[in-house]
Amino acid sequence: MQIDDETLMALADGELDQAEAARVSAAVARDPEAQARLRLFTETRARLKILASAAPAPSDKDLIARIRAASSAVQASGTVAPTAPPLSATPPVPANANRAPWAALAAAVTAAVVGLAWWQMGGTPAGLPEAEVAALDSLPSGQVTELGDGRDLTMIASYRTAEGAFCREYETAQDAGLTVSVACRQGDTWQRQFASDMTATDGYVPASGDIAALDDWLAETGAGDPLTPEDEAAALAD
Amino acid sequence: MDPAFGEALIRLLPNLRRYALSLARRADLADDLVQTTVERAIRAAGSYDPAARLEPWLFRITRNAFIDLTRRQRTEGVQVDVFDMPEALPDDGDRAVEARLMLQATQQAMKTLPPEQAEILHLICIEELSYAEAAEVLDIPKGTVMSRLSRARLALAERLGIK
Repeated sequence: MQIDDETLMALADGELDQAEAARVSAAVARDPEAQARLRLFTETRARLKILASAAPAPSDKDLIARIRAASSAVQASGTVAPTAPPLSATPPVPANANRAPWAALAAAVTAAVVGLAWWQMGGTPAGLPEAEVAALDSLPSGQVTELGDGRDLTMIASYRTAEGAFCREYETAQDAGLTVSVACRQGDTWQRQFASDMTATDGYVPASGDIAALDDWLAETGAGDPLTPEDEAAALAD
Repeated sequence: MDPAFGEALIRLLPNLRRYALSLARRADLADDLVQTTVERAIRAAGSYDPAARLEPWLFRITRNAFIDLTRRQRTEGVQVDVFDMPEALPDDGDRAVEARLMLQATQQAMKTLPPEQAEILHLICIEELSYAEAAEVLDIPKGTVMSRLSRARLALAERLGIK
């Protein structure tokens, strides 16, 4: 019997049920070539396992204190701590490869960002440049386009708000400057409803303020998870 | 928050830091990721199903925090690689030199793998998640976990000269 690599690996990783493991083991015992390949999987796992004990261990004293404080706050009041509104355990998950960290990491990063967020709920039309409108009309999430004025536009994700509006999150970048925006389609036009300007600074500053602002916006408008590429394509075709 | 949940979270801090480090590759970013994970975990403690293992649930939060962080950071800068930082290396004075060399070779090989492959190796072979749990953390089908993991293992074996 020919045993494929994934089956050998599953055997090495203890992922086969008992009957299957016995059957595959018996076959491996009769097949020197399979034994050699099995060893690739057991040996790589053994080598990696050693790394588990090799991580640096900075003091977690502060974090431990923080966690215990959260525990006792609940003990005392019997309710959820007032400063900790329940958040989704899983913030909006990428519906497309653009949100995968590696694309972003490749372009990474040590200088950090500070953000100034602003809203345009209602009010005057934002008057978006034509190139941005064209991207909003057709660019799938995860893709980058040049706007022709020296800026790049990266489409991040599409959402439906609770009211059914079709909205898209995108970033425009020029040199060190980065703007995260959300625009929603209104009839035949796009209106920018959220934007957060980020400026590179020396050293690392957590960008949590910006994330919070965007998360707030998403929560406020009832936007759920990003649309799948299929749903997005359908919405763009409307 | 249930104190038992807090204690379980504390026990997993080293694992969280290790995973954060594998994602960010920089000690300072890893610290921030762990911090963010803890804050989000505390806030979301009510939505954790105690019947499920805590590791995948936490790793998923860490991974999302990492995505949040990186997609907002596009400015190039000098990267300090954790593997070049002496304090980030294991203090294993008692261990045989040979073992340390092997460990460093493995770390070095992990560094040269595509990030996708290094990540899946980390979750399954270092953090010992099951295929199904890794699929949940990475938000990909189990079949994809298996094909990616098998490619990654063979690539690592080749780099380490395992035959």
